[in-house]
Amino acid sequence: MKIIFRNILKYYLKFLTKIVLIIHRPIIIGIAGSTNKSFVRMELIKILNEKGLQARSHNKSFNTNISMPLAILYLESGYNSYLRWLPIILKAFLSIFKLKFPQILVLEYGISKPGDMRYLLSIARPDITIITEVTKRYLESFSDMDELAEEYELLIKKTKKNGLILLNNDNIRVSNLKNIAKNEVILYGFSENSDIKVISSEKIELGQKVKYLYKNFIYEIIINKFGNHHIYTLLIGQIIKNYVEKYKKL
Amino acid sequence: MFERTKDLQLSVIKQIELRASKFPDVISLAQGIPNFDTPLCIKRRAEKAMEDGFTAKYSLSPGMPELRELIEISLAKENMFYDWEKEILVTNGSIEAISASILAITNPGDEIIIPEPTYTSYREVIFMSGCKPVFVPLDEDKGWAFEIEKYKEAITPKTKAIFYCNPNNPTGTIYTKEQLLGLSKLALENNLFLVSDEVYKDFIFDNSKIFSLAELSELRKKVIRIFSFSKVMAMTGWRVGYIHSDEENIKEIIKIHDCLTTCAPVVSQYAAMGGLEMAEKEINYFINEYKKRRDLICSRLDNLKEIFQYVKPNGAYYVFPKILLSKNNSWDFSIELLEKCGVAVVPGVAFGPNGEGHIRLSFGRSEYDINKAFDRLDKYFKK
Repeated sequence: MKIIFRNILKYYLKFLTKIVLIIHRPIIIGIAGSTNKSFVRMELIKILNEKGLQARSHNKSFNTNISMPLAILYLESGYNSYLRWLPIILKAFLSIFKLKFPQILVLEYGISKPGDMRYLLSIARPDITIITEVTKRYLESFSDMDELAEEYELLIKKTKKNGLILLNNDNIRVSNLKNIAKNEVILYGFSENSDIKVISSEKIELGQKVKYLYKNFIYEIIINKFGNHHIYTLLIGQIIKNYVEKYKKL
Repeated sequence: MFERTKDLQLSVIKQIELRASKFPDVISLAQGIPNFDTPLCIKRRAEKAMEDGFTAKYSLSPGMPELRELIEISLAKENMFYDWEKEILVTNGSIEAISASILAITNPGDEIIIPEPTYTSYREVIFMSGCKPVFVPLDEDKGWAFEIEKYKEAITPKTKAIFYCNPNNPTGTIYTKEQLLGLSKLALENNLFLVSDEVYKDFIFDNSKIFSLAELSELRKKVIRIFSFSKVMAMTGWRVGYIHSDEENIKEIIKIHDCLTTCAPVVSQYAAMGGLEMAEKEINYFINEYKKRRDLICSRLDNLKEIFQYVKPNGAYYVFPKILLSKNNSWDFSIELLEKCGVAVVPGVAFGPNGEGHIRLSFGRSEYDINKAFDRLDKYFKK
């Protein structure tokens, strides 16, 4: 019974989500990778909202095959309760008639087994794709790293025409994805040939002092957080800020 | 033989529980176990991970990256900024976190200052590490507050750390920011670690926000903060918690953690992720329930004014009343309550010398249990 309900719900939400996306046609920023997705998502929402754009993401990660529809329709999960699902099912239907919808959606493309990416892409293809890291984290459900990498390759291939791809240049698996990309690719990281490159980073009492080079300018910034993942987030944020400024001029 | 273990004792709480198990129809207000079941959303997350085949293997020793990321995000909401990769370590509940931390930061013969009354197992972990606990009494007349002067007096060249629980078990005291800053000043002046066990930090009953020294970036290298999912998410059986501190400390603690346990149970790590992602509503429900139970237990204690006097707890789920009778040996009194009333409580002496003459009552139990236990106490004392 539970499995039947779950499957009906999965296709119902997917169907409605696709209709909503056809109606509103938002720009989709897709974030994928084994780690750091949530930090990037939160940073991008902050940047986009500061730039006066209506951007939205879901602050909860449900980790199921209904996560993405719920994130796009901006609905809570009913978890294991049929009763809690009832109003959500109704709200999902009513969202077709909503006039207000954000210009930009920031979505996490989280995968845990082969085929997950294909399913997510069947709901929404990103205009901008960001890949953070590919590590052995989910290797348990993949036969090897190549099978895992195939998921990300598919995401690169399915990124919309004229879209943008941001790749972590410090992870060889990720940076190699540039070879199959047909879109503009921006490489970020500490590595020498990065398009946006960290020159130095220093841990200080209040966080990290980061110096980076982007489009021939050197920037120096202090972030009040610790860890390299926040430096990557900063770089991604800088690229998106730049992209958005161009986008707003169009 | 057994040099290391000869001074260790099985926790008094467990001894009482063991005795209580021999009495039929006993009501236990002794063990600090929430009476709630683990929220469904958490169980579902663990079930799903098992169904998908993700739980059969070890995780990385410091814990699953995804969980540590979520912990970093939840810490940031509380103004604490730590790097999930290098500064957050997932443990087998808080007791493993405590053991690994104490073993990592001390050498045999070191002294550790503990405010008391406080949680019984601290003493055992300190002994196990070959160190000496130095008890500094809390001031009951000031609502079980720290008295900084007494800490100053307790510091010797052998002192390595001050180890406290906030909110405190068994008194339910929440230490003020001023008191904690006083401790931090002492720690900086004397190059001491501050080990802060904050497993009850979500159970605050007066709408105030608990302050943690881990919020202060200038103290990151000194503060080791411990948290567990056991109490807040009713997950005592899942054995999962975490430590965070500057990477300088964590890289040492992780060596002990790896020796003790390899990694926290993977299924429990998935469950903890479910809790952090989805259990907000259930946690708020627990907090409201405990507040109701705190008020209930206090009103029942008020009816026994000639027997007990207490400081109203603002946090955790314990009350620590003083026994006003002339025979106030806490062990004897607890055994009397167990044998004559069928009510299990913990003798105050279990929490340190300053706890003598008190008992600990847990309101982690249901309202029904609390009422039934107090009906028996009323009947016994008003006879």
